[in-house]
Amino acid sequence: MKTLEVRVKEFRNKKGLTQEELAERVGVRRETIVFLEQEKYNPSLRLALKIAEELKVPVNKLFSLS
Amino acid sequence: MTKKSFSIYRLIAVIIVAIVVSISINYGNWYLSLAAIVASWIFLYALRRNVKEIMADERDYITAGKASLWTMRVYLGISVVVGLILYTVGGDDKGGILFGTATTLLYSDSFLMLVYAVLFKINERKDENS
Repeated sequence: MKTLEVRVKEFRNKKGLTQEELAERVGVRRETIVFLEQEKYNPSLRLALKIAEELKVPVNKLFSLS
Repeated sequence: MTKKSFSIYRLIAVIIVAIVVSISINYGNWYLSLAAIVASWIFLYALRRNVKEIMADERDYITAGKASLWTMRVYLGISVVVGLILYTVGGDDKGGILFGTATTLLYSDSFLMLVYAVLFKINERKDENS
């Protein structure tokens, strides 16, 4: 079974954002970003698109199946 | 207001309501406890509106949904078994306390399942429309 590969941390660091700042911008708690980056949580499509928009990265670069 | 200070205020409100309710039970005054509950609800609602931080997000809702489902499964499982045991132990004594307790327990189970089914359908339709 393919697993979800998350590259949020990489692009967030490139943008110079903290987890707290990204969480605030996309309207979730910091813990959600932590779990997301640790690949322990699959976000909703809405949240995935919001993060992609905030980090200015195509959603398929942030999340992929491997 | 921060989430932490809101939690502290909420804890204080719960303690005050608990004290007021226990006093009102002693005095047999139900209006006092009702007034305390309503007042604390209004107080907390007003405070919550001032909290700028995010209180809950999609992950919390998913977790809450799973926890609620498991709570219901555990409660129903245990109460059905206890209800049937009470029916068996109670025997033919239909006016007895065991029969009454078992009946109340099993009717509450049925009511819980009914409420769950109705709310499930309502929420299912909401999700379809959103």
